[in-house]
Amino acid sequence: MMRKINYFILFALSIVALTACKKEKTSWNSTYKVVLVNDTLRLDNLVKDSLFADDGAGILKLSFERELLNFDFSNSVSIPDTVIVQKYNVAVNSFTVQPGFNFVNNVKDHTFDLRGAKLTFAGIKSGEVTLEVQNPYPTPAIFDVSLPKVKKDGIALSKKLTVGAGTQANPTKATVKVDVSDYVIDLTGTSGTGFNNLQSTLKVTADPNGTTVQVTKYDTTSFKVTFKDLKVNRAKGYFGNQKVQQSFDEQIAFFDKVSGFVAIEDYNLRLVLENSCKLEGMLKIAGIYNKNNSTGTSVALQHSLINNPIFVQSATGNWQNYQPFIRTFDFLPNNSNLSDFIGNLGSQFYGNLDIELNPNGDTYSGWNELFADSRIKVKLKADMPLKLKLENLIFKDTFDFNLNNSTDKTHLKQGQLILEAINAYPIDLLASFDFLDENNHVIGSVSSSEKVKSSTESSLTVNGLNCSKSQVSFALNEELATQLSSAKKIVVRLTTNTYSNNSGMTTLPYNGFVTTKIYGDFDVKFKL
Amino acid sequence: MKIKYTLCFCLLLSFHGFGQRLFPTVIDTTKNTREINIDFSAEIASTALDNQILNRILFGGEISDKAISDNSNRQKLLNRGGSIVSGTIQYTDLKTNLFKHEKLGFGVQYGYDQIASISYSDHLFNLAAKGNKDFVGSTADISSTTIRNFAFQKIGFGIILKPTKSSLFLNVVGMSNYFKGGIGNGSIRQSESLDTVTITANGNFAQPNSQTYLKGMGLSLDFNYNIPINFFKNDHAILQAQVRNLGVVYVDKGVKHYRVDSTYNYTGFSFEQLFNGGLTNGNLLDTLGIKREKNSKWVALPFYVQLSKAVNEEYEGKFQSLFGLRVYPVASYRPLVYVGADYKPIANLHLGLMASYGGFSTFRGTFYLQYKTPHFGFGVGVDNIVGSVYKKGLGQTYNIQLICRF
Repeated sequence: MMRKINYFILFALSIVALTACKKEKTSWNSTYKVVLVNDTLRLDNLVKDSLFADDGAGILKLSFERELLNFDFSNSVSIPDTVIVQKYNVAVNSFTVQPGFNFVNNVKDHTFDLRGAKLTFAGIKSGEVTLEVQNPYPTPAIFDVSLPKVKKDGIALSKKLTVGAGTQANPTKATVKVDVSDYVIDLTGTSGTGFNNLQSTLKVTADPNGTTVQVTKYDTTSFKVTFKDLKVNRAKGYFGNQKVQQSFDEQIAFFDKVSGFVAIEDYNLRLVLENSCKLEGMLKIAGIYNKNNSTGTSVALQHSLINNPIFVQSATGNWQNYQPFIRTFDFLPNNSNLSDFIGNLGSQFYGNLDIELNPNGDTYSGWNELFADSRIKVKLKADMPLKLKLENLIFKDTFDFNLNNSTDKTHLKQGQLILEAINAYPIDLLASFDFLDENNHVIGSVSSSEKVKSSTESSLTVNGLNCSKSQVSFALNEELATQLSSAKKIVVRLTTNTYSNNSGMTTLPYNGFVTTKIYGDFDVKFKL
Repeated sequence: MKIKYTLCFCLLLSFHGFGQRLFPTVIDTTKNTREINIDFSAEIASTALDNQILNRILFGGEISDKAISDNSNRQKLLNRGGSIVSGTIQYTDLKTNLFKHEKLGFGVQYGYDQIASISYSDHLFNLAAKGNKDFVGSTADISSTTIRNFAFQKIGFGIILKPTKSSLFLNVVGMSNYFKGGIGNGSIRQSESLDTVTITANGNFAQPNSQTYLKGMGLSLDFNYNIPINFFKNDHAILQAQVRNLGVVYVDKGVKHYRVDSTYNYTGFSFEQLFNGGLTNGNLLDTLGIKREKNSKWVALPFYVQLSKAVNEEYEGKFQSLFGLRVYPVASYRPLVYVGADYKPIANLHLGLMASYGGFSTFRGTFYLQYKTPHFGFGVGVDNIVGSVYKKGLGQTYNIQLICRF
């Protein structure tokens, strides 16, 4: 028995020994150098807002046009939802109506309340008209209703409605809806010389297949027209004296990525005022500001234009061929603080404008005119050679980052990033990279004290441009490499300085570039 | 007592591993027993990697730069290697008459098998083990690369023929790991400045879609047929025919297949690709010319066939001859032939010495020891004598067997 127990103990011990085997991962180290990035950077790559152009001599110029205001007057010259009613009673106490007999033939003008405006004409962009008639007569009748001066392609809005017999107490109704998009309305009324007047006609004929009936003066028939949601895109008349406040808020995202000092020389920024409406106005720019959201600093643009009303003349011509009134205002070094304004490096451009229509009243005797695309526009235009000075101007951008570099698996152990650059800009660059975790905390950085040299330290010529060639190394130590798995973002920071021989101001070549090759030279730890 | 302690020592020395069936099989004629049999086997072998590397692959740990340098020098144009790890715990009952048939016993077993194999060029070894700097301005040839790994467990029930101990087991198989791939013609060309890498490849790769531990289920057969024969001067001998793991696995979520037959010129990524989401798995595969092909559902198990002359426990002489042939239908595995002799110095003890050629390696020497009593038996063996004691040997194989009868 004891012998059997010994065998079992031996057997059990053997199994324990066999299952106690624990295997750590097989690993070894290798080194690899590979090109990771091969790209050419231009200012256009960094500035997606299309701010630059060629000045014709190969020099980069600032060239952009931004619309600060695009004011559509159709919102100010509108026809409100309106109901007009044309009622009719026969003039005699009573008379006999034979089948097929036309016994009502009435024309009437209706007045629109347009809140001070006196329109003689309106083009309808969209809207709806509902026509409703009521038959109080004891015989079916044919209602021929018409708005003779509401036309589309020269044809008046007109409908024939057959309505069943009704009573004075309970008239029979009939309605029809009409989409009046692209209709035009003549608001001069029956006389042809009035304003805000709309003519309507009503004809009623007894049913030819009906019976002979008696009609009295107490039988009131009516024709109701409901105008709803009319949008005007053309108008003529006097639009009234109106005051409108407008604001603008424009973003140029590029400026969110830069900080530091920039100075601009010989600038010329132009504000363009354009009026394509046939009306006069007074425009006052209450303020234009540049706000840097990083520093919280706002700089107000200073110029004689600011806070001083400008008279805006009317456009000329007709709706098929009109010439807008255009007035420009130049912002120059001697009349503005534009350098400080742009040097604030804010991405937000905002401001307020006050517009007054017809400040002098009805000076053109009802000849204000609004065309389909009439607007008052304020544009900011720049078209100037860029001569600037950068002192430690920092361009910073953040990108998503995702690298699984678990040390439990094959991973990047340590190494270096080698940047080989050919720079054709007279700007040197000092690059650094911060790795952020999911809470945006910096978990590690790589940087170098070496710079990408400015083209002023020229060592070669490419495409006619002086260029310098640089090689910069960034060490990636083992501690940071092991933390890369928790990095969720990478912040790329480029610190830039311009170089010139005299004033510190320099131009930039339009065809400038930085050809970039980034190599990774890594120790990789394989784990199986 | 001394023997027991020696046995314990031998076992504990070899507990690092593994073991599978003792190599070769010793067949006795005990018929009326119940038996628990545990086999473990671990083999790692190569035509060009020595134990400095293989030991680290087998047991884990860091491969030193010196080991990589030593092995780099011995790589040939095309090299092979592989590993087979398997273990089985089997209960057999020869006391019970299955189906009331006095010649039939039964058994149940649980086993684990893993076979991994690789064929590779010397250039690929240097690329993987040392890095790419040896190939600056030149071309690395990675043609004829194959890689394959298959791991599965099985649980089965079998019928055993008592007189000869021939058996047939039907197993339910669970596949836990599978991938295979290869490159027919392939090269990696690097420019002098390392700014251009040209990859030409004609290859394929397959792996299951499922990320779960159990990736597929299937059925397999283990067949063992012992044939008594007369061998020289009418001595009784036993010819053993074995087929193991003959079966298929159904992969419910399918096996995804990738194929590439293109040349890709890599010159680095643009900032747009790196930073603005221009580089996704989908378009990276497209860029590299890698096409995803239709899923397949069925995977054949890596079965093997062995024909051998087994050791006959009933043989009365001290020496018996041994020989056999083992075949795995795996590209990196050459048919293995072996020949040797079994020596029985005392009752119940067998010592053996054999020479083999093929498999994942070339020539190897085998030594084994088996001791059996009516209630307990054990065996240990090494299929690569040189590799077991010499770090520059080309692999190691250890077998261990424990038997408990009651």
